[in-house]
Amino acid sequence: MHPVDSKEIAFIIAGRNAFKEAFKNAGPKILEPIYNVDIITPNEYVGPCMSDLNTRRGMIMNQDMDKGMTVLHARVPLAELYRYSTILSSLTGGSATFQMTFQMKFAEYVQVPADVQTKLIAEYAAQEQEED
Amino acid sequence: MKSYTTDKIRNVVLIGASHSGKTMLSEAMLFEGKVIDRRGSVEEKNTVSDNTEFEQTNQKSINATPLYGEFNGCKINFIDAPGSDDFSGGALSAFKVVESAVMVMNGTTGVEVGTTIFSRYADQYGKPMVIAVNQMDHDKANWEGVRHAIAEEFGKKAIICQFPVNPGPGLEGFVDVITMKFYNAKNEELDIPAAYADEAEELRAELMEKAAEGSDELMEKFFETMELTTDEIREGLRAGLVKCETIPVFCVAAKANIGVRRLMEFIVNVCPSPLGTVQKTVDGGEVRCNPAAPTSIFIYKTSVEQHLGEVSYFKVMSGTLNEGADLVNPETGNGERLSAIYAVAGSKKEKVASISAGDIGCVMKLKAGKTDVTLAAPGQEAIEHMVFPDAKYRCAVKAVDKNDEAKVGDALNKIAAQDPTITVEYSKELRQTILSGMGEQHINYVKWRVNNEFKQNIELYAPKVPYRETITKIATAQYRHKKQSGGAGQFGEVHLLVCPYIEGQEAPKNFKIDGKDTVFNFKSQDITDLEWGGKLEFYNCVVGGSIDLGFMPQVQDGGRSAHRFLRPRHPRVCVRR
Ligand SMILES: Nc1nc2c(ncn2[C@@H]2O[C@H](COP(=O)(O)OP(=O)(O)O)[C@@H](O)[C@H]2O)c(=O)[nH]1
Ligand SMILES: [Mg+2]
Repeated sequence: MHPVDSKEIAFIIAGRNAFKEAFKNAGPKILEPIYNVDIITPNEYVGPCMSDLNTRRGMIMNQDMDKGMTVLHARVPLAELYRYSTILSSLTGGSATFQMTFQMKFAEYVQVPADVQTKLIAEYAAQEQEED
Repeated sequence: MKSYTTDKIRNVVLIGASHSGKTMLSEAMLFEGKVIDRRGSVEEKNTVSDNTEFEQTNQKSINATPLYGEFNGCKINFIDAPGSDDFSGGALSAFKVVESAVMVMNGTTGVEVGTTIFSRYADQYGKPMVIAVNQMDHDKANWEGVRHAIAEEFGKKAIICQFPVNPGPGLEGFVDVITMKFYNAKNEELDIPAAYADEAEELRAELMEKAAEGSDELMEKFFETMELTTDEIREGLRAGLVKCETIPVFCVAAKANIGVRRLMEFIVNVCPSPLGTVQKTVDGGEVRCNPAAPTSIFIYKTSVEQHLGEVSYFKVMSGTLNEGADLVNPETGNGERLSAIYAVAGSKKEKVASISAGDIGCVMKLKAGKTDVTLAAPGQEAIEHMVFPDAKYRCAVKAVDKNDEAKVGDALNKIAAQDPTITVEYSKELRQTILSGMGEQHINYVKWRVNNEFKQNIELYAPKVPYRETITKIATAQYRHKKQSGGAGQFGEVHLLVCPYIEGQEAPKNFKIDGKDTVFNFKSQDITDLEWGGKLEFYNCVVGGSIDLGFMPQVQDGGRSAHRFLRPRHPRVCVRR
């Protein structure tokens, strides 16, 4: 890397800090990625799958049938999907499967609930301190 | 070992739920196929198929093991696939190289979750299926129950070709309604006992009707005479099988080796040979399984094996592969001489001089390509790549000891190169290495391998979530950076305003700042599409000549780098002095 001109660095630092400050005062809201999750399950497990999705802040968009199985089309925050395959499997005796898709477009990001935002900001602050 | 012509080859994969008995059936097929002269068992940890330490301690298959046996002058290559969905990668790769699948069912339980999962896969990959209801000698064997479950699951596609006589520990054998013979517990072919003649006739009539559906000619013949010969039944079954419209149902007791010989005979007589089958190429062309065409082989599996190192398994998709052949990878142009080629039965490898179109073999320590590649005579097109379902399990991974990072990375990359259902990716944004696979067990197996094969310790944990951030109102800020400590001094002052971006709306120019109406005068603008779909609009509204405009990019960079973790969604930034 070529040495940065002292004037350049001054503007980078000033720009960075001004931006940070402005952003903080502009009512910032955290957005989280929401995945499309299609769950394919035998009919008898539709109930347990749905109530589990509720605990993951999931939204069931619609539901249809495929080859005798129920397909639940849901939107679920990525943050709630860790180990989901294992959970779904134990919920349905291994008989359900699912597919996840996500497109990198801004409509797929949704504001997190206030309590999650507070928690995330606290976590982030702690992590920043650790790294500094 | 001799070389088999294409029409004398059958390639099948054994699929089905865990514990249905695929590995025991493989052992019996190896025995009947004269590859081994003593059968091992899963309990004694000495089967040919479950030959790795992990498989033996856990008494379950993890790898899809290629095996073969000779029967009536034909070579049956059969791949013993694992029954858990987490390890379905093995069965799905096998689908690339087989013409049909044997669905092994547990005769005590019937249709299980694994049965449904793998029959769905067979359907998706367009592979014909033969059902083998196993464990007919088990004290809980329940033929009637299983038969009904099959009818419910597969409907009219399923057609009974056999039924057991006295299922349970006293199993006497199976009545076969294709050959209209009785096969006793010693696998001898006898006449059907009188007590079972009526049932056999009834099933024979159903079988004929089903076989007649195979082609118009057979249907005509059947309507005219109400009769089909045994060969015509075979022909009709084969036609229905190839179209995935017929699922013949057989019975076996793999552990006691009853009925296995007859199942192999059916595979040889009725299951399709690879001759004339077609593979699509990546360029939209076709490779036909023709022994006279130029040589083309497809590597569907790579594994690291004790004493051998890296072993690549392939199917000759066309032509004949001779030892010492010079082939190229059409996608990279890399060439390679295959100096030694082998027939495979698990860890037993037998050197051969040539392998014909349609046959499966292996080669050691290839350099020109790993899994999912074609090696062919110059000028051939690469065969279409294998397809796998998307990963279902993601986690972050790191070396327990930071100093081992490089070694761990190397181990993970090697595993991913062998197993196409594993991916390892470093996410710059999350600053984590993300490991994904088919399920938690699959990922835990990777961890086990890193630990046992590569002697490294890794830790698995929840991956970070790539959050973004947006703003909801207008705000201004200013910052002055001043530093004088020898050399050139640093000075920069930035005033800026951010406001939420609304799709399709022009950037506003009039703002009230500190109670004063202020009009912005845009000197220049810069619109950046952010990689996650957002947009950053940056307007330069510097007044007069207060700063050198050449510094704008620096201001902008500063703004962008301010949000490493939480990134702005669609902000509009106006800079002014
Ligand atoms: N009684 C009986 N037990 C069997 C038979 N085939 C397999 N088993 C047992 O079933 C268990 C699972 O067999 P295995 O071949 O590992 O099943 P896989 O998971 O489908 O490969 C083992 O304990 C076998 O000994 C059979 O035909 N009869
Ligand atoms: Mg097995």
